Amino acid sequence: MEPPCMSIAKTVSFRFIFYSLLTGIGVFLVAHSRPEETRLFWSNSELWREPILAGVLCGFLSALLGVYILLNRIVFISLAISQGASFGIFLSYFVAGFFAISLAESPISFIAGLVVALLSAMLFAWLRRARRIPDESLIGFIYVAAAGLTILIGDRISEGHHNIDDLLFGNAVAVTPYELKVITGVTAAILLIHLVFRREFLYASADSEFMKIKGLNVKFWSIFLYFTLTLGITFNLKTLGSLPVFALMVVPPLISLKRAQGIREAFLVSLFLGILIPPLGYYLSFIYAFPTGSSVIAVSCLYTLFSFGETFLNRLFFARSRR
Amino acid sequence: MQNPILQLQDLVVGFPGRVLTSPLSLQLPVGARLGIIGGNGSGKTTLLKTLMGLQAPLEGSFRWKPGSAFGYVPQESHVDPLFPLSVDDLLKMGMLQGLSRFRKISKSNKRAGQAMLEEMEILHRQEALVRDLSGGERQRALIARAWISKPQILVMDEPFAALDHRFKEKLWEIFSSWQRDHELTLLIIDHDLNRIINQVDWLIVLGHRGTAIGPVETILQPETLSHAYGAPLHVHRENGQFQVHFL
Repeated sequence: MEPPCMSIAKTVSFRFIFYSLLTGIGVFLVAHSRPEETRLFWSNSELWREPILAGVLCGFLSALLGVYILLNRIVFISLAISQGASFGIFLSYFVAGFFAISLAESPISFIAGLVVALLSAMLFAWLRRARRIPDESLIGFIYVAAAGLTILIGDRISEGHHNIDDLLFGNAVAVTPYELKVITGVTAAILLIHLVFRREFLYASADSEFMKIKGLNVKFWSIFLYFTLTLGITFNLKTLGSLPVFALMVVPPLISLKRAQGIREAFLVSLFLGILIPPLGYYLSFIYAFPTGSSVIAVSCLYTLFSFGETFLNRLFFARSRR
Repeated sequence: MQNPILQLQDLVVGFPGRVLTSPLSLQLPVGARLGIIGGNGSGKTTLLKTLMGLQAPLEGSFRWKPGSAFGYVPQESHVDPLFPLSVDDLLKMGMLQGLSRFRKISKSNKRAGQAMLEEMEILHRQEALVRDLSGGERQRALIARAWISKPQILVMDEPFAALDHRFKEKLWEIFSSWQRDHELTLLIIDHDLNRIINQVDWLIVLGHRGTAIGPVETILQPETLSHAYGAPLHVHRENGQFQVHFL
């Protein structure tokens, strides 16, 4: 006898309502315990409007890409790609210093970071096909090689440390309208690519052997998927920094996939959580004067705890509907 | 033979440093049933994967009739259980080329999928996740995925492994009807020598001592089979069915 199962629409609605309610309760309790800070928060909306919008976009994109990352069992790839980007940024400053060129206000260092991150991801996608090498060891190699080179080069850089910090760890509270436009454009482009080619990305990941026999160019679609992952990770890195992006890539898909009864549900719930977590992180960061990135990470962990409550309620609901 | 669907020319398969077959040559006609039998590790799956283009041959060559499309039923599902894919999604994988990128799945595709699942007796599991299916249901879902796009060639790696006796019998009837209606060519790996020799018309035997390849009547000579298996055996007919007994 198979277990009774709710329709996808009901399950998704239940999960949306559950996490919205918890978020609402959390905000309400914080507002009551810190009324003065809450009043200041709302009266200074111009301070956080752009950063929070950027955080929401960052969360949305991370949650979308994170589903693929979890399904492909390559959770640490985002850290390896971030490290690749770091190496690229440091390299650009090192080369600029060698030729006595200033990179302040220049997009060159970001582009260099993006290029090296892309090369790292392509290297991973290419080597991954050689089945005898475990994914974890490849990711570990890319991470340690990029980290080692970054430290070596970083030792020889005398200028631009502030800019480098901004590029690597994000400047979550200082997002300009122009940066917001760029983040919106990148998010929209990646979302569009993933909507149009959703089946190719998904099926090539789920059963590459079968899809190859069906004539799908699995290598191309894998590399294209890693390209979008790298693009998303590198831009998000600039907004929130490495660890918060890692948290947003892991936690929403993790919670979503834990109970997902279909691929559509997996994406919908993950995206919803990706939108929900960053604003709460920013809000708590403002009220309690926490560092923003750490606050986003803490909220992500809190939602993971909530997911156990969701599981419990779900079981309760199932038990009742069975009676 | 005019326009064979598959030609093997001294094909040797295996891995670098490990040859699994002696040279295989064959011209397989359209609509044939080719059975591949042999012990564990004899190279059956490697031969199929080579013919599917998933790995390179060690020596020789093979050629499929140009424009041939394949359906493939693996030994076991390669769909990662982490993926929350339903049986419906599995069918969409099988008919990817025929799906619209922007519109919902067409009514005709939906009907074809339902008919396919009904034939496999798993229509009631259409919405179920692949990871929640029983071994037999999963096997039937994989056959449905392979056949949904009506390919000219259906390649199956031990498709009967998880099926009950009744459905095994039914599956041969289903294959016969597909072959009758669509000129389908079948390539099947099976461990059960006495079952497969009565169901196919061409045979590749990958034995411990050698390889035998050709029409079933030729292969079923005791000396040919004995040579391939490296063991004395006896072939006889019982109620119109071939039976092989190792002595």
